[in-house]
Amino acid sequence: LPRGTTSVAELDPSRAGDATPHHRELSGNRATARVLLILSQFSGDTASHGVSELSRELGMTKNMVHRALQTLARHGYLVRDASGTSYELGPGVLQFARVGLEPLNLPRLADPYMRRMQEASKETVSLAVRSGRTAVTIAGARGLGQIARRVPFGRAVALHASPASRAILAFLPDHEIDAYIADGVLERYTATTLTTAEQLHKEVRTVRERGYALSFGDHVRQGATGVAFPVPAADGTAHGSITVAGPSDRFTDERRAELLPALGAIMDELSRHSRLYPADLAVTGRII
Amino acid sequence: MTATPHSSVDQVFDVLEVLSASVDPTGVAQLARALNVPTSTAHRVLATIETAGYATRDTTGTRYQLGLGAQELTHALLRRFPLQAVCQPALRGLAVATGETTVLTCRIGWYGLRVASVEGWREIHAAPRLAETSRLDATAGGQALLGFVDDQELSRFLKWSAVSRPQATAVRTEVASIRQRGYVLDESTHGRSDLALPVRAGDGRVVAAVTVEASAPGGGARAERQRYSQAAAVVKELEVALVDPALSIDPFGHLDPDDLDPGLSVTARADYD
Repeated sequence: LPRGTTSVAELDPSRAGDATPHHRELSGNRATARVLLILSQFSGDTASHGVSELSRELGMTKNMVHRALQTLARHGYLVRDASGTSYELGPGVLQFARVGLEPLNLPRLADPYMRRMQEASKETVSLAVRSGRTAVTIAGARGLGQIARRVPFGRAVALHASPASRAILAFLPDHEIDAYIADGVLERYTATTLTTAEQLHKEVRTVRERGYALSFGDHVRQGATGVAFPVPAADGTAHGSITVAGPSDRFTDERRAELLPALGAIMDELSRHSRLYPADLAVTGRII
Repeated sequence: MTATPHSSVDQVFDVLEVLSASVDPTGVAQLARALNVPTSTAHRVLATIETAGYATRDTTGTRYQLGLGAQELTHALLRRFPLQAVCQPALRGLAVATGETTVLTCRIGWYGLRVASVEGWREIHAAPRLAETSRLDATAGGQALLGFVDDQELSRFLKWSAVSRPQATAVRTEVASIRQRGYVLDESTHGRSDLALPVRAGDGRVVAAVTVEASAPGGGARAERQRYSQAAAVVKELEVALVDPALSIDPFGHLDPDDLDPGLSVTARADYD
């Protein structure tokens, strides 16, 4: 998504002096962009920000920062903090939630990031969510080549098999993983399917450490290689998982390793947004 | 609106206000009409807002809605309430037990703010709207907070809300009965039955309210009693955690409640040079 693309250079005050109407308009745009950029500094985890610190970090003069802060405070977006020297978010930002913050629409949130992952990898990208003891593919886009992995829309795969499933399973609370193992049979799909509690616990540890699940032919044998990332929710569980996969002769282990940093960076961006939302009881099905 | 000279920066806040007020995405022409500015101006302001991440276009590419930047700020404000993070397991447990949407409400000035909510799992359930604000007397959660303020505070609220004398008397009567009952049962919204309980800090002050927004009234007195005891158990759980005074800090406690306006009507105007 096009966020925070305004560079500090664009906001250079030395370019704002000309008085023709056109230039006045441009300088108005820059003042506006500055105010919004300063406002965005308050969406992080640090509550208070002062003039000197913002001016240093954003490369703006103290005077510019000071005026922007005053404007934001006048509109109620910021208030003085208890010490009176810095500013904090004010109740004015709540007008953004006048009609209530929408609950998460995972396919819509993930879509732009999945497109970028498809562009980066040229391979098939798919989105799966948990449904009871399975993960179901609900969205995706086919890879760009003549030969590509199918998007398995609607396919439900047990939580212990396939990267898409394991990326979801691994981020469930320990007691839910134990319950998953205890309540049913770990069905074997291929020779490499993990069918014992010990194997599965080891894989869970690996996926948690690495942050993603890799394919090893544990669900479908025929020549596909893939990697699946969890889409984290506020509580650390996964809203779902995003899988990038393709034919093993093209999407080789080496090619996958080469792409991991780029794919991981896109997932980090998505995670920053998806973590704002609590996991959905009804979707994750943990109450059933 | 054209009568008052209006700087570019102020126009941004006007546009954000219009986008906030609309459930559906807003077209450029529609926006220009609402603000009484030329379409070219609306285009320009929207472009700046979009670049900063505060507006996005819908799938048609011609209509705008609030962007993720706006949502992130709202979530950042909710995080200022220490209870927001702590209450999630409790609200979740209550939603699982009742099947209904559960809410934690905190005070922001004279308003109740929905700082956390977990969606119920019943087929038909109340929407888990987050960050909505309403006057303290307007919702069950707000009333559970208002019911336990001291008399002086109650008088200040009534003065601020500028209600008529008979309305003020009605609010006082309601507050007295909430104090006596210890909770709020509100069935004034069609198809809903909201049960709200106050949550007390270690020093006895009421600092939040837990609400169960039941979608199916008519479950009878027995269902109501059951919901009450489920909610009371969750409140008790929260109050154990609230022994830590850091968790009940009001992030806006240092400000005059009369000055805290949650953006329901932005009237500030001045030139930005």
